Amino acid sequence: MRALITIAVVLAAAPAFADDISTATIQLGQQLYATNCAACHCTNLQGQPDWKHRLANGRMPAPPHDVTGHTWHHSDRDLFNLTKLGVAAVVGDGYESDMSAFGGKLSDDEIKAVLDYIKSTWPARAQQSQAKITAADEASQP
Amino acid sequence: MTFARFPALSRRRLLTGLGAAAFSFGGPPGLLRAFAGTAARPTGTVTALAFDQGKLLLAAAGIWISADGGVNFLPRSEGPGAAVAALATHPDLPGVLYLATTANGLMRSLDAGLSWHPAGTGLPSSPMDAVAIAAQDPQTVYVAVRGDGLWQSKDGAKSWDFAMDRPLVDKVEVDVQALASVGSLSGMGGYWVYAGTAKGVSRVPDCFCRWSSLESSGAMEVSTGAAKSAPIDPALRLPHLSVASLAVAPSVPEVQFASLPSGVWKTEDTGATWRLVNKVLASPILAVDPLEPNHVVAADAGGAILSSRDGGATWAAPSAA
Repeated sequence: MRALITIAVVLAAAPAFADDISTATIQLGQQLYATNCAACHCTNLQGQPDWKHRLANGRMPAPPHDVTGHTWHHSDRDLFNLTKLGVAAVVGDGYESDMSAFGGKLSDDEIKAVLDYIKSTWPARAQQSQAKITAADEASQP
Repeated sequence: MTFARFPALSRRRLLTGLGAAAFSFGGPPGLLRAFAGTAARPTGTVTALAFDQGKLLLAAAGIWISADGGVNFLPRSEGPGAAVAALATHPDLPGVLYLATTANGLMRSLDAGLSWHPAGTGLPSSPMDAVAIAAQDPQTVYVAVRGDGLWQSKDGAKSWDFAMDRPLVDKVEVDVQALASVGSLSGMGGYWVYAGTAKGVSRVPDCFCRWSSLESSGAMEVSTGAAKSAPIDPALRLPHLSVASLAVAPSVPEVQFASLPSGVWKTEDTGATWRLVNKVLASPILAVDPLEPNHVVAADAGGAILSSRDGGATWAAPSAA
């Protein structure tokens, strides 16, 4: 019941986004998020405590995926690649991250569903800003 | 009320001797004003430079001002003396100066350096090594706190939030020694913040997701659209050495100047490639005039000043434009 209420609140808060994404997709994304992402990024997407300070191993903690973090500053392509390939593979140059590649665990559609769920939680302003970033990124691709 | 004539620091000594909260600037307006006296040469170690409304400000045992590009200076105010680490100005905020100090927090002047007041409420009490005003939003201010990281204010220094840990270079956290807001698009809905460190220059988008070193292979190739299969010639990269100062005009973000032990380096492609344009001064402090971006001034700790009016192509002792 609580999950249904949460989804209802999410959808109500993000009508523009929900127009394009089905409720079923967001439900699937939420379930996959709970199973695969929440352990680090936390159930309510708030990220690890003190996430702006580096861990003792030099890596950055898992950031929030809600509007307090920087996820909404990344294009769809970046978010998809970071999830599928892992942060270290995308950044390269020896960069170390605890964010592993989920390409072997989740299908492309499942990754997109998770991202759709995360995006559905953002306020309209962040959604619109992220959509612009995605559009600019797509326009810059050859 | 009569104040000690600059650069005599009897008033500062008095305050220090009284243990006055290490230079309390929170007293009555104008408490620490010093007066524009007769022309003189700045004394003490030069620690910061900035342009405000075409005038050159210099910190060296006090704040000095030059209306002729560094030919002549007038004492402006005592400021916090030798504790000054950096000055920041913005062309859209004439007369507003931010001053990062290693002992007295963050200070701000609203009268072009005559009087100074605390502006760092909410910031740690650790030394502050650098300050910058966002190129595209002058109400946003960044401060580098030693041993801590980067702090950000989005309301003109009324409140502060921790923005990002220090850069990690060669698996070691390094302090930010110099800051510059660079108004070129980050690709993440905002702009860039560049940081000079003991190991070159790192930069972070102003969403503060991740520092990246300009010298990292691939980082600038991606930024400039070059394929990773065609990496930048290592000879054109900025040396992986201590960067004491960064300077960039908000109107020309792709052109930047960096100060290294070998001299002044210049990039014209937002940091992808660099060349040494002045090897006379070692690790000088730099400033670019936002109103005249080809006007660059470099001053070393001993007070030697060189100026370029052609974007760093040629340098000479300061002369009136």
